[in-house]
Amino acid sequence: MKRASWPRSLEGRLLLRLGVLLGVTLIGGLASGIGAALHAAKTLADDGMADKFVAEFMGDVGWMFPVLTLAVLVIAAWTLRASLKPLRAVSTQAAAITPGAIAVRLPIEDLPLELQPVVMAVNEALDRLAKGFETQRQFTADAAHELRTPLAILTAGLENLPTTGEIERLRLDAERMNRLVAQLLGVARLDGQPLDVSQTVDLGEVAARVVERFAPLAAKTGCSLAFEPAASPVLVTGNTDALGDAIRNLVENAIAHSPPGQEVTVGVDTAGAVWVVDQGPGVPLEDRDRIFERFWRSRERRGSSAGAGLGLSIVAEIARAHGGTIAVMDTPQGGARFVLDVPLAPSVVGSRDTDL
Amino acid sequence: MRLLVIEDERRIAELVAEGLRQASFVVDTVATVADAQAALELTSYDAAVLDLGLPDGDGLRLLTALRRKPDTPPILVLTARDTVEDRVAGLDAGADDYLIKPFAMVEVVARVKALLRRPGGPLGVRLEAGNLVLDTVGRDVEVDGQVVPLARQEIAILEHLIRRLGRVVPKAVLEEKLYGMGDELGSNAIPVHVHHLRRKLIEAKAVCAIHTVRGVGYFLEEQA
Repeated sequence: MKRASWPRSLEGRLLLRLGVLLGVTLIGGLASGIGAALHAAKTLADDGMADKFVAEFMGDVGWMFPVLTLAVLVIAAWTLRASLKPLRAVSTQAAAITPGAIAVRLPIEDLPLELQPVVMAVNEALDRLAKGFETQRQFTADAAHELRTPLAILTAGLENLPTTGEIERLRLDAERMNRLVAQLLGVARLDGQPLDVSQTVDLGEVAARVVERFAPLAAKTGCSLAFEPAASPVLVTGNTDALGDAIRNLVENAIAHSPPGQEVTVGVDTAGAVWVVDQGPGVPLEDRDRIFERFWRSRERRGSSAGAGLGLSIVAEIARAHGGTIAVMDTPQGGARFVLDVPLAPSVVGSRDTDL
Repeated sequence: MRLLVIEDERRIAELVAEGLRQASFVVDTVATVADAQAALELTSYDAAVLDLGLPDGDGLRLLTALRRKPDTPPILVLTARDTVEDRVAGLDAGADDYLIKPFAMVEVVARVKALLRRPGGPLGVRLEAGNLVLDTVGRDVEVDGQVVPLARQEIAILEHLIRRLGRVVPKAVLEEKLYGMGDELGSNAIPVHVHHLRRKLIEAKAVCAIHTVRGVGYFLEEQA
């Protein structure tokens, strides 16, 4: 609940109080002035000087009251506005601070002394936050390096060995481990640092690059991958890398659930949605809410060695960070259709050419 | 063909060198920026594989320094870094290609071969895929030593597919290349050429196949 009528701005309060003060002074001053004048007039009435006295009083002093009142109000308003103007600049700067742009600090130079401590405290808080983010970023980068190097050694070592049944199984295990580490690092990155989702991204372009990269891999598992572009570039506000990651996870998931010989289709529409359709068994109704939870796996896959249940949770996380949604539904053919919806860029700045 | 592997992690250096040797390359390994510079001064390499995190300096700086000199071989960068900024920095500094650890050894070999298959590269004249050989100077194609009669545009398409063996070539790129040949291009030109090319390769019993990635492009795959 806030008080309705009391002015909340500094300027409003000051003017109101000054106004009241001046009003009281004016009324008091006038009353005593008029009293004194009446008294004087009474004594002077006989001399016939009363009219002359009143005229002189108004001419010499009386006109000053309203002028003085006006001058005080104007000076007060002007001083306040001028000293608080830098605060506007501070607000504009503060509005520019986003998770992806935390290096911005608020200017304190032109602020009135009274306000400087507040702004300085905010700046210091920003410093601490930035340091925290940086520590986290560094840790994730280090962890990535430390985990990847031994994995690379293991993978390459197994590849150089002559192929036998057992070696082949070990290679698959190492590959699974690689994927898991990559996904865990992805999750750690999403958790540890806010995502910069302020870039203007052509969703069609990102999806086409993912299809381009995964088509040869899909062919190795016997599937084919196809892309259905939108009629025009689909510009959304987001993070190119994260959106690529999300689409990649959807494609990997679709390939993993596709029977050999079937097509996985990736498409983009002008409303800001990417969809991935497979010809697999589809997702049962009762699993549709839980499928995007971390480490969740369907009953059929729980005992198998495929997938850790991280891919779709990463997609959901990225969708959330973009203020978008991810959903799964059926296709008329019984396969699954995943739809990732991302808000469109507010204004389409210029028009970009696309490759396809 | 001689390759230089610049990698400080001893086990990775050994394994990458071993993998490349199995693909019949001659391989030298060094572990520091200083050794790499000395080796590149002394020997003429056909390609180099560079790890970005080296003990005596950043691999990116070595890359920038090498790029300023003429006759630097193509460079494949290996790295455990995987953020966008790192990738962009690597490519800006002059990396010809990029692989993120952990990588598959077959992928390293494939990428190195792709670098060598570039125009002007040591494998750039006689392009091979499976039992198929494309002579980029004579402009002819042989499968198992038998010449396969192909149209000019079909050879051009095949050349681009072989240079990026196992990776997708966007249709737009092929269109651009054929357009450069002064051809009138209908919207259907590329699919029609690819269709004929594919049929002729199957008839000639080539052990490589052209895959279509609907909506994106095509890629050539060697078949086991």
